[in-house]
Amino acid sequence: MKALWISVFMLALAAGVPAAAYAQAEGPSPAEAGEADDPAGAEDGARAGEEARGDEGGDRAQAAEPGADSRAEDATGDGEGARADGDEAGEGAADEAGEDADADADADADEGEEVDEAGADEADEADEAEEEAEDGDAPDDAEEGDEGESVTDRDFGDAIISEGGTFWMPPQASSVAPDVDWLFYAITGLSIFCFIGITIAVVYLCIRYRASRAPKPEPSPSHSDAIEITWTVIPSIIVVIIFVLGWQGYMRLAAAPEHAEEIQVRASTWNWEFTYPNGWVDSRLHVPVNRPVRLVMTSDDVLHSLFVPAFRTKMDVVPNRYTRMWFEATEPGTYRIYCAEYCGNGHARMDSEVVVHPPGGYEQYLDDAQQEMLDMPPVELGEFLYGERLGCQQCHSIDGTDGEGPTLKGIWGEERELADGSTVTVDENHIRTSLLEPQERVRAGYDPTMPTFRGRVEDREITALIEFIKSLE
Amino acid sequence: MSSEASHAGEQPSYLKVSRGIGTWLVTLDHKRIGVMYLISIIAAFLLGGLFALGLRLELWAMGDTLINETQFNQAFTVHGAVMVFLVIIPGIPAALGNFVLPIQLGAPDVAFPRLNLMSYYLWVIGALFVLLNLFMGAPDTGWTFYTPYSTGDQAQGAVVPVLIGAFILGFSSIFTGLNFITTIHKFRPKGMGWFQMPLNLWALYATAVIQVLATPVLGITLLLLFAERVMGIGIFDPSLGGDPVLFQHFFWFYSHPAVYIMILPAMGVISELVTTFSHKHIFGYRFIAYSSIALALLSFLVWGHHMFVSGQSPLATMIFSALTFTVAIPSAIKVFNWIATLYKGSIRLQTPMLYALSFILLFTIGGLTGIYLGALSTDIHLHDTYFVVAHFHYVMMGSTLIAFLGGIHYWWPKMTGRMYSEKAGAFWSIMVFIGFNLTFLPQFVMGSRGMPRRYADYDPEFQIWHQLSTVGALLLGVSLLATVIYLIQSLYSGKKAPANPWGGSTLEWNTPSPPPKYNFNEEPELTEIYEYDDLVFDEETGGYVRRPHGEPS
Repeated sequence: MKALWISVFMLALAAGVPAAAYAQAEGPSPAEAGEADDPAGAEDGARAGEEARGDEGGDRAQAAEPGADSRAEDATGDGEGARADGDEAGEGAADEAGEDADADADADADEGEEVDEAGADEADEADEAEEEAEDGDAPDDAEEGDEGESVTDRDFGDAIISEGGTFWMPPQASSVAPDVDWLFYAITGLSIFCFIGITIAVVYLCIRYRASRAPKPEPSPSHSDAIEITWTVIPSIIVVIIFVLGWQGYMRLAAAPEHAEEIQVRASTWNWEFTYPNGWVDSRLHVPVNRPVRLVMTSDDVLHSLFVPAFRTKMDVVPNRYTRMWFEATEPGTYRIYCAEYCGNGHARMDSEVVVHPPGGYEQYLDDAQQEMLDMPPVELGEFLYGERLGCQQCHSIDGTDGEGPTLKGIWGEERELADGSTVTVDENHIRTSLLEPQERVRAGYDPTMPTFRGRVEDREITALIEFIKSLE
Repeated sequence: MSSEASHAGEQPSYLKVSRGIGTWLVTLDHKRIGVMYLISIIAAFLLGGLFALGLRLELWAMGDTLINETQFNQAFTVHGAVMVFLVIIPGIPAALGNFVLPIQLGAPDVAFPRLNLMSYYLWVIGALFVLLNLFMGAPDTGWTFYTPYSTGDQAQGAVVPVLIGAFILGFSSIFTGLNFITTIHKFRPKGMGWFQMPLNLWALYATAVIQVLATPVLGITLLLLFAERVMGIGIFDPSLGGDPVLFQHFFWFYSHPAVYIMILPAMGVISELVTTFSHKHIFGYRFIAYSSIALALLSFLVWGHHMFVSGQSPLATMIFSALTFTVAIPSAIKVFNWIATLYKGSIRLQTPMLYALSFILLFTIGGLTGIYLGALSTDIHLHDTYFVVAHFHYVMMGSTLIAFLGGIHYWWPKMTGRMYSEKAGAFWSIMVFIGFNLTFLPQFVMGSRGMPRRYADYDPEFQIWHQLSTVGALLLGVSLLATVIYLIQSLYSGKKAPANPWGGSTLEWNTPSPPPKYNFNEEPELTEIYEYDDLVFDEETGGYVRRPHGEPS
C-alpha cells in the first residue's frame, strides 16, 4: 500500500501549491516576515518603516502615504479570484504591519543588530530615504536660487533612486508597481514551494531507494490514471489562476485613463528625446506625481524599448509606428530609464532618468523651460542641443577624444578627410550638411552610423550648434 | 539468447569494420554519422562557450575592460548563433539520436542513409558559413536578427554569411527530421507497436515533426531578410515601407517551436536515464508519450509570448499568454512522472543518473521561472532583462545541454566500447551543476531588479551579481573542459565496456559495445518495454545480461 503513500505525498505537494499562493496573497506569516531573505516580508517591513517615519517626519508623510494606501488596498483585497478570502488575511497583515511599524519606530542603532539581515537592509534604506526627505527641500532652493542654470541641467534634489526596494525588486514608484510585485511574490512563493517539494521528493527517494539499500525494485504500479489525472488537473487550475491575475494586471498597465498628460517620446540611436505639451524638449523625462502620464513613442531608426524598472513597465519603440505606454508615478524622486531592446553599440549607454516632481513641481519645470528657450544665447542653446536634446555627446566628445564619431573640439576651420577620399573644410556649410545629410559627410575611419537630423532641428538651432562648435577651441 | 550463441555470430564492430578517415567521410552508417556529428557539435560547443566566457569576463568590471562595445555585441551574437543553430538544435537529435534511434528500433540503419550523410554535410557547410564571420567581422545583430537593425547600415560585420549559414543548417535539420519520421514509421520491428517504443523515440518523433513543419518558416524568413539586405526589397524595414514587427512574428513562429526542438529530445533522454538507473518501469508511459506530442503541437501556438511589449495588440497578447500557460501542463506531467519512477526503484547514482537528476531540478527552475514570463503583468517588467536570460539558459543549457551530457555519458560505452572513469564523471557532473547554478541564479536577481540584457556595461548596483555570475561561468567552463578531457582519456585507458553496463532494457543494450556495422549480430529478441525483471548483473563481464526465460532467479 505504499503506492497510496506516494500518491498522498504527491497530492499533498500539489495541494500545497495553491495554499502557498494564498499564503503569499495574504501577506507573510510572522515566521516568514522574520526570515532573512523572504522578499515579501522585507517589503512589508519597508512599508511599515515608511509609515512609521511618516508619522514623525512631517513632509515625508505625504510621500509615504500613497504607497501605504495602495498597499492597504492590496492587502484587504477586492474580493475577486484568488483573493476572495483576503479580508481576514488583510486584517492579519495590517495588524502585523502595525506591529512592525511600532518596532521600527522604536528601533535605534542598538536594536539594528537584532533585526535580521533584510531588516538591516531596510534600515539602510530608511536612512537613505530620510536623507532624501531632507534633500527634498533642496530643489526649491535650486529652483529659486540658480536662475542661471538650465532647467535641463538643474538638480532636482535627488540622486537616482536605484538602491532600495527589496532583494528582488527595485523601489516601487508607480501605481501598478505594488500589484505587479504582489503577483511576482505570489509566483515566487509558489515556485519556491514547488521547487523545494520536488527537491525533497527527489533527494528522499534517491536515498530511500538507493541500490545498496534496495537491491531489487519492489513491485509497484507503472501507471495510475487517478494520480496522473490529479497532477494534470491541479497544475492546470493553478496556471489558469495565474493567467487571470497576470491578465488583470496587464489590463491596468495597458489601458491609460483618458485625462492623462501626454508626452511625446522620440528614440534614436542612442538617445531619448521627450517633447512636452509646451514644445520644450528634454533628454530627461519629467512627470508630475499622482497624475497619469501617457507616452506616445516612435523611433527614428531601429527598435528601442523604454523601460522604467521602478514603474514596472516597458514598451518597445518602433520606427514608422506609434506605441503607447502610461503610468502614474506615486513617489517623487529620480529613477532610471533604460533602453531594453538591443539597438547597437551604444545600447548600454542609452539610458536616461525620469524625474517625478512633487505637486506643483512639474508645472514650475514647464514654465521655467518655456522662459529659458526664449532667453538662450546661441552658444548656450548649442551646448544644450549638443548635450541634452539631440544627444550628440553619445558619439562626439568635446574634449578631443574620438569615440563612435570624431570629437568636435578644435575642428573648426580645419581640413578633414572623408570616407570617399575627398577633403572638406569644417565650416558652417559642412556642419549643416553633416547634420542634415550625414551619409554624405562620413569622416574617414568612421562607420556611417550617424542618423539624419533633418526635420528635427530648426535653422536657429543649426546656427546655435555652429556657434557652439566654433567656441570649442 | 545464450552468451555462446552471441559469440559465435560476432562481427567486427562499426569502428573496426573499415579503417581510415576516408571511410568515415563517405560512410552511410548512422552510427559513424552520429559520432561525426558528436565531435563537430562538441567542437562548436567549446567555441560558443569561449565567447560566453569572454562576455562574462568583460562584465566582471564596469566600463570597457577586456573588449569594447562592438566586440561585446559581436561576441553575444556569435555565442547565441553558434549555440542555438550549431549546438543545441542539432545536439541531441543529430548526434545521439542518429546513433541510437535505429538501434533502439532493432533496425540496421535509418530509412535514408544517404540523406543522413547529406544532413551532416549540410551542417558542416552551414557551420562554415556561420564561422566565416569570425574572419570577416562578426555581425552584432544578436542571434535574433531583429529588423530594422539587421537590415540597416548600422549593423556591423558579415550578417549575410550567417543568414546563409542558418538557412543551410535549417535544411540539415529538416532532412534529419524527415529521416527520423520515416524510420520510426517504417522500421519498427514486428511486435513493437507505438506504445512499445522507448520514450526516447517518442520524443525524437515529436521533435522531427516540429523540425519538418517549423524550419521551413525560418528558411523563408531568412530569405526575406536576405532579399531586403542584399536587394533592398522592402519587407521589414520601415524606410522601405516594411514592417519590423512582422519579422518578429516570422522569426518566433520558427524559433519558439525551435525551443521544443531543443527540449523534447532532452526529455526523451531523461526518460530513458530515469527508468534505467531506477531499474524499474517508467511511471506513466502513455502520459509521457502523449505529453511529448502535446508539447510539439502547442509549441506552434505560443510564439507571440516573445512579443508582449513589441506593440502587438493587447488582445493578441492576452491570447498568447493564455496559450503559453498550457505548455506548463505537459511539462509538469513529465517531471512528476520521472519522480514517481524513482519510487520503489533500485536507484544507482552513476554519472548519467546524476545528470538526469540535475536535469529534473534545473528544468523545474527553468519551467517555474517561465510562469513569471507567461503571466502578463510580471512579464512586462521582466521582458528583455537578465531574468529572461537566466530563464532560457536554465531551459536551453540547464536542461537540454545537461540532458545531452547525460546522454553522452549513458551511450558513451555503446559508442566507443570504453568506460570512462566513474569517479571523474560523478565529480565533474556535480561541478557542472554547481557552476551552472552559480552562473545563472544571480542573473534572476539582477534581472528582476531591472538589469537589461545585451548591455556591455551596467550600473554599480549590479556589479556583485555580475561577478558571482562570472565566477560561476569560469567554474562551469573548467568543468566542461575537464569532462571533455576525461572522456577523451577513456578512449585510450578506459575499461572495455560490456554490452549492457547500466542494466538498460531497450534494444541498444542487446548488442555488443560498440555494435557491429548493421547493429545486431542476430535478430534482437523483443521484450516488453522497460522490463527489468530478468536483467541480472554478470560479474564476469561487469555488465547486465538477460536471464533466459523460465530460469529461476
